[in-house]
Amino acid sequence: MTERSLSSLYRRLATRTPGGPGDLLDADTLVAAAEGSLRGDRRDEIAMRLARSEAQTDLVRLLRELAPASQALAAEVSAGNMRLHGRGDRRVRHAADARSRKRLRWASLAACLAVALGIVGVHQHREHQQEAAIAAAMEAAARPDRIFTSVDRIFSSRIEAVQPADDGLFRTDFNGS
Amino acid sequence: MTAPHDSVDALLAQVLRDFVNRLGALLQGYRLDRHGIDPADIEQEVRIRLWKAIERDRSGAFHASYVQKVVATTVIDALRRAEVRAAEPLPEDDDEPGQLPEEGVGPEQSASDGERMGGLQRCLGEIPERRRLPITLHLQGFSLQEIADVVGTSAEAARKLVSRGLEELKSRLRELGYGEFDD
Repeated sequence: MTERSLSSLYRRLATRTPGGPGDLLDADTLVAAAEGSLRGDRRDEIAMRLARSEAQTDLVRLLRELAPASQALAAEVSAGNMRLHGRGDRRVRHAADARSRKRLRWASLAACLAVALGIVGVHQHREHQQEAAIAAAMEAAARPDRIFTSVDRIFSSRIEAVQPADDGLFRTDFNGS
Repeated sequence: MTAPHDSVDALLAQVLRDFVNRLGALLQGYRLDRHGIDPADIEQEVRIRLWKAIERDRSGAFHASYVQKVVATTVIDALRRAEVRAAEPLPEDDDEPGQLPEEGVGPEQSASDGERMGGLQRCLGEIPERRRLPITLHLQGFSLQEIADVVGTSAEAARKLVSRGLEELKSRLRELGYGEFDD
């Protein structure tokens, strides 16, 4: 009896075509093909390779039919993780407390450092003031004495100039006039 | 380990068992054992990989695409191993008779199949690629909706492409003297 099924004939042809059974696609591509989300620029190439491989065709069709069960499993696992999340919350809170304590410690340290720097600054400022006062005093001391260096009016003035007119007493003529 | 943890683990183990049972039924339904892989091995491997993934990350959401990818990867790995096994030479056995022809296929039919395959290949090659792809996907076993999703068109457009393409293919085969064909 002669085989009259085109599908059967084509599948046998496909297994004999070079690169047929060995031309396996990667898992991401097969999952994308199963969910109909293949990239536009690769559609023809993927379709051609799928059309040549009965095993991959079976796998893509299986994945398509398995998708609702996969979604149910994923939802159940996520829900289970959520139920365990209570314990996770405590761990998260503990971690947050530890972080906040650490931050507080650093802030305290920074405040202490700022106070210490302030004290040092004030101290240095005072020292600077004292030094300035001493320097001013020394400078003042080093300056020539105004009393002795200045042109003393009393001693420097010409006596003649201040000498009044002839003393009338001594120049007086004692002859009775 | 705490009581809530145990109860959640027991629930997840049950859910995973249900999923693997469903996978097993589909592996049987699609007869993946034809390709040299053992469905029981696939079920076992998928169960182990998924359980490890669940144990590894208990903090985040679990995605369906990840589950699908685990199944796809496991089957692909098994197909590759089957290919390697098939490529390895069989141990020589003097008692073993020579390779038998395919069961139920006589020499005349085998020669005739070869001619028809050649004719089919020639006729497919004459059809433009845009029309050829939906036909070959259909002949490989894809449904119209699956063809539409792979090729990136609507199911109705895929139906028209397949229907017209098959008519064209059969017509060409008929003209070449290969007679009538079913789908």
